[in-house]
Order: sequence, then C-alpha cells, then structure tokens
Amino acid sequence: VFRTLEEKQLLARVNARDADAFAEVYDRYAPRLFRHAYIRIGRKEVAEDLTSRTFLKAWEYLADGKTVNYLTSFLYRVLQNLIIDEYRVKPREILVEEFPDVADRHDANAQMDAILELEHVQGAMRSLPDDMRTLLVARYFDQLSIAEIRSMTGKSSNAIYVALHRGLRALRQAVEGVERSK
Amino acid sequence: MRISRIKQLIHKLPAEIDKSWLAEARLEILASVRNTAVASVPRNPRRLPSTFYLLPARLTAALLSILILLGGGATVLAAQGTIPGEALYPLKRAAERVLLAVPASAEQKVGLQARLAERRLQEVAKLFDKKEKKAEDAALSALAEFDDNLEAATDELPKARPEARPRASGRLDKAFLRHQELLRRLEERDLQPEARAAVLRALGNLPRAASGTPRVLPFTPSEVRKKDVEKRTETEKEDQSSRDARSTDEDRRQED
Repeated sequence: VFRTLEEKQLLARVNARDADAFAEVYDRYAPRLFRHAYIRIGRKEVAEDLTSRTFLKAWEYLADGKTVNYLTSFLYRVLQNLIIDEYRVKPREILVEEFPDVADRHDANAQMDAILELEHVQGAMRSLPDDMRTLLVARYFDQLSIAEIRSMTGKSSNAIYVALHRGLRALRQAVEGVERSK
Repeated sequence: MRISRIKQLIHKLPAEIDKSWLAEARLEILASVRNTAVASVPRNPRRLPSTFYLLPARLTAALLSILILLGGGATVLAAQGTIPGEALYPLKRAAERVLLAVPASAEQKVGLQARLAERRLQEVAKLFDKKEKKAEDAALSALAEFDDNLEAATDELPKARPEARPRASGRLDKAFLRHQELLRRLEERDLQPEARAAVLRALGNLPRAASGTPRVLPFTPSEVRKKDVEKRTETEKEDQSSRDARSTDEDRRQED
C-alpha cells in the first residue's frame, strides 16, 4: 500500500527507460522472482531462464512506450504469464527436484524436526494442482498482498481468499498424508 | 500440523539462488537494455510523473484538501458512515486514499492502517445487516481489505523509530483487541457459511498479523489470544470440513 519516495522515484525513472534504474529493479526483484519460479516449477535452470526473460519482457514493454504503475505486481504478472504460456506442464512433471541441503546450515539434531516438517510441506506442495500452488506460493512464500496477487492472476479478492483457504486445507491434508507414509 | 504452522513453513521453503548466475544474467539483461535505453534521464523532479508530494505546492494542496475533507467538508463528513453500494461511499474511499498518499512516519502509518482496518469491519457489520447476496460479497471484499490494512500496519511497525515503537506497538495491540471484539460479534450472528468462514479467517489472521513479522516488543496479550483463536478456528473449520472436501473434489473433477 505504501510506497516510499525512493520507490516512486525509481518507478518514474524506470518508466522513463533509464537503464541504471532498471539495473536497480533487477537487483531488487531478480532474487524474489527466481525463488518464486523455483518453488513453483522446481527446476533451477528453468527458473533462471524464466527470471531472465521476465526482465527482458518487462523492458520490451517499457521500450514500447508503455508505463508501469506497480513494479511488484507488474513483474510477477509478467513472470506468471511466461509460466502459463510456456511452462504449463502436467502436474507430475512439476516435481520439485532435490532442494539444496537444508541440514548443512543448521546444527544437526536440534533442527532435525524442523527440517523434516519443511520436507513434508515441500513434498505435499508437489501434489497440489498448479493454480493452487501458485496462490499459496504468492501469498505465503513471496508474501504478496491480496491486491498484488489480484493483479498478478486477474482473479477477484474473494476468489483468491476462497482458493487460499482451500489450498491451505488441501496442503494440510497432503502434509498429513506425507507424514503417515513416512 | 496447524494451518498457521504450514503458512510459516511455506515461507521457509528453501530456494537458494546461484549468485554467479544472478551476476551473469544481470550483465546480459543490462547489455540488451542499454541498447534501447534513453541515453540520459533528466533528474529534474518536475519531470517526474504523479509523485505529487515532491512538489511543495502540491503538498500544500494535498494537505489543504485533507483539512477540507476531514474538517470542513460537510459532504465528506456525511460520507464517513457510508457503506459500499451507497452514493457517497466512493468519496469516503477517496478521502482515505488522500490520507494514505500523504507522507507520514511509520508509526503514523501503523495508526492509520489500524484505523482503516476498523472502518472496514464497521462496514462489514452494516453489510451483513442487509442480508443480500450483493451486500455479502461486498462484506467479503471489505474483510479482505481489513486483512490487507492489518498486514500493512504490522509491516510498518518495524520501520518505526525505536523510541516511537513501544507506543505504536501498544496502540496496534489495542486496535487488535477492538478488531477481535468486532469480529467476535460478527461471528455470533446468523451468517451464511462463506461469510462465517471469512470472519473466522479474519479472526485467525489477527494474531498472525500481530506476530507474523519480527516484533520489537514481546506480544504477550496476542500470544494468549492466538491460542484461543486458533482453537476456535480449528473447531469451526472441522465443522465445515466435509462441505469443503466435497467442493474440492468437485473442482478436481471439473479440471479432469
């Protein structure tokens, strides 16, 4: 809701096609967009490709003389469209490959339970349909606001709320399934 | 596993980024960008679009309009109690947008968002009174906005000046208590299932808003409420589980 003066100035410079400003946008958003794509698609090289192309597409849009009102919503929407257009894969193909080893970053035993929990959620996420996972990732991983998700997906606030509610319940069910199978 | 825990875990899903890729991609993208970039961008602030508070004159105009909107404007005053669907409601929202657009300290923003959140709840109560489908939809939207305001308030808190934080935090906590009271009163009403679920979600989100982002102060009252609310939410949710499970199945079938 609030944009700092700095963000507004950055946006104005981006809209004026200032390359340095675009570099700042890249530094701010590239890691976020990559993580979003990675969590959803699960393949590092695909996520990298999507992230790069999101910025190229964004620049094409600006180069056409069009302007952006909200950077976050805009960039996520471009990424979302790329995923829909080109990486609409069958659910079984969206398997999340091995994540980098979480355990390395922790003192083994104390964090073991937390890591297991995380793995269960990770496993359960794979079993959800893509549209459900998209919303859950946008809301709880990227922590986008409902307004930003609305702009990214084109769904109404109500639809997003209902879908998130259902998604969390489905995810919980899936987590319980994973826990039982272990 | 609790839903609230699952939300936290989603946020912690590991997705490590390859720093060297990040740097290489940056070079490639910027190389292609610089070919089409505008060579030099004038840094004259007057050339910047729509950042009205960059200009003192416009700032003055904005402040004046707020004074008029809040103090003298009888019409805007009349709009204060309106709800979505009424003629003067857009005016009420316009006045709020002006308030939001004015530069303010983080602690002021916390207070403003908490107040706006409360307004949305008051609208929800009035909308539920109407017992119409359209009013219920509007109420659900208002509840969604309530959540957004609350999140914005919580997001601003860590940005507040250290000396102002305890006070802002205390005020926010008081606001949460009022919100909780209002939501509980809504919950006691005879509501349609979707409306009830939305109210319970909002109740469940209250403590998340309070403890979701790193807080400077311990949030003891909310922690106590959190357990209480979660227990209630879980129980209520179980009641609806069979209905929801059915509808999810139906969704799946449709997709197949």
